[in-house]
Amino acid sequence: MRVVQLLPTISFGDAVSNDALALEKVIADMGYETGIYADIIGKRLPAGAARKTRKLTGLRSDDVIIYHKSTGTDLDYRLDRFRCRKMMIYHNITPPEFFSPYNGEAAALTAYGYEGLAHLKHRVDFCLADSEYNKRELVMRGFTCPIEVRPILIPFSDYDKAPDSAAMERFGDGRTNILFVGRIAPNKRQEDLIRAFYFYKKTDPTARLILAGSDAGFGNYSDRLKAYAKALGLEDVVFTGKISFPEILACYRTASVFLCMSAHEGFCVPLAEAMHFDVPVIALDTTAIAGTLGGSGFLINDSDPLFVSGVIERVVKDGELRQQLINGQRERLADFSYDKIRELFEKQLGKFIGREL
Amino acid sequence: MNVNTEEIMAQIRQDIREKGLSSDMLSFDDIPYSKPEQADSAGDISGEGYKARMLWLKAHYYIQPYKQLAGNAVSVLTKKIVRKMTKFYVEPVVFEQNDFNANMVSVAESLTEANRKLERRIEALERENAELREKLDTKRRKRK
Repeated sequence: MRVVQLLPTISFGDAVSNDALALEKVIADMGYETGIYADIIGKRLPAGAARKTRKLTGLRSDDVIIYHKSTGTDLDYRLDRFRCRKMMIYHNITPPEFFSPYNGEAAALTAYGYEGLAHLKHRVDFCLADSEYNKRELVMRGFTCPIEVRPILIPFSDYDKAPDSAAMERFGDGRTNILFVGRIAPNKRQEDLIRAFYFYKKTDPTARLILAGSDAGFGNYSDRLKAYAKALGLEDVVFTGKISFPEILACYRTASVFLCMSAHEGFCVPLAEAMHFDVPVIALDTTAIAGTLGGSGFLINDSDPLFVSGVIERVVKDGELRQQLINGQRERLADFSYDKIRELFEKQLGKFIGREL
Repeated sequence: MNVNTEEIMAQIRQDIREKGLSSDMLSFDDIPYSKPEQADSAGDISGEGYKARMLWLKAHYYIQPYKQLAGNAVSVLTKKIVRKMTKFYVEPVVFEQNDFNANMVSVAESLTEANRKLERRIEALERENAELREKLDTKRRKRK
């Protein structure tokens, strides 16, 4: 029996691709013939990690396709060609209204993603959602098949690699580092991070705000953020741009607090990463954020910059509070451990294959 | 976990009130930025709107031979029978149309790329032309 995974693009380092690669091993260990198929295969991936979609042939009616859905693609429609059982892993799609003021192409792509989702609603037999939020969205969009939640598989062992020494030296100078990791994109609301930092700087003048992430596709939004920081007289807002994995590790290792003001997230892997590095998390309660934090971290319900700066100040300066937050995050992180997610996935896939759903 | 974040947040709000602090500041909305083009003028193939339409074409060129059937059980069954009966005619036409669409998209992409190359070439030639004219003018002025 074959259980294969299908996604439009697989590339090195992105969360969905990492999930697919990790699941491939789990499926193989369960004894099924498996493989990853994609339209676009990143050049940085090891040879043979995935095959082109057109090579996916010979599937029988009891074979299973696990389709990763996260963007707009005609694969949503081409999936109809395969006469086998279909399971979808929904990683969420960013609503186009976030992108349209800055990038029409990106907005069109995500709008197409939602069209594809509507097409799939009666065409998949089972869904896995990264979060309760994603599950609710599928229900709201008319999916009637069984839906279960399975957090994304994060390869935490990779995070024990050595951080970049130059970045460690640059950011590890004893100053307060407020960190956010994620691409520079309008749904991440980096302007709200800058607004809170503006007030926080008044109490901690040497503090630094590090915005780690690529601005690919949103150069105009990034330029606007830089102009905003400049207009506010803030010199310590660091836009790292696209950085290497060891540099990201250095950012986490030197961070005093992880601040997330994102308006839309389907899971938000950086929250779990911050937990892994014992960095206290402060995050605005939107979309999937509360679900991912699971009662840990410091969940805020107000984006007022003065208020947020007050919360940062408490978390940075109150040692006892910091430790309590870190302890809570360690407990929560255990829920995302490889073994736990693997066990959950094996159970869910087993039920689907055994037609118990 | 025994962190009472609600209580801490209430304390912070109280503190802000007592100190009479205000979060008035420059708004992000007041910062200008370069907006993507909403609609391209005819013939403009370098704008965001054109790119979005090209992307739409690439994503939508594949047509499904059949739509999902709706209605009560009898109606769906009838439609299914009609669909079976017309399959021999509909499917080949749709697949032919899909091949045509795929080729059209491919041609449109090639033309776009060819046009971009031409634009770059024209720009280079115009620059060269302007430089040559300037040199010529300089020589003429010197002769006078």
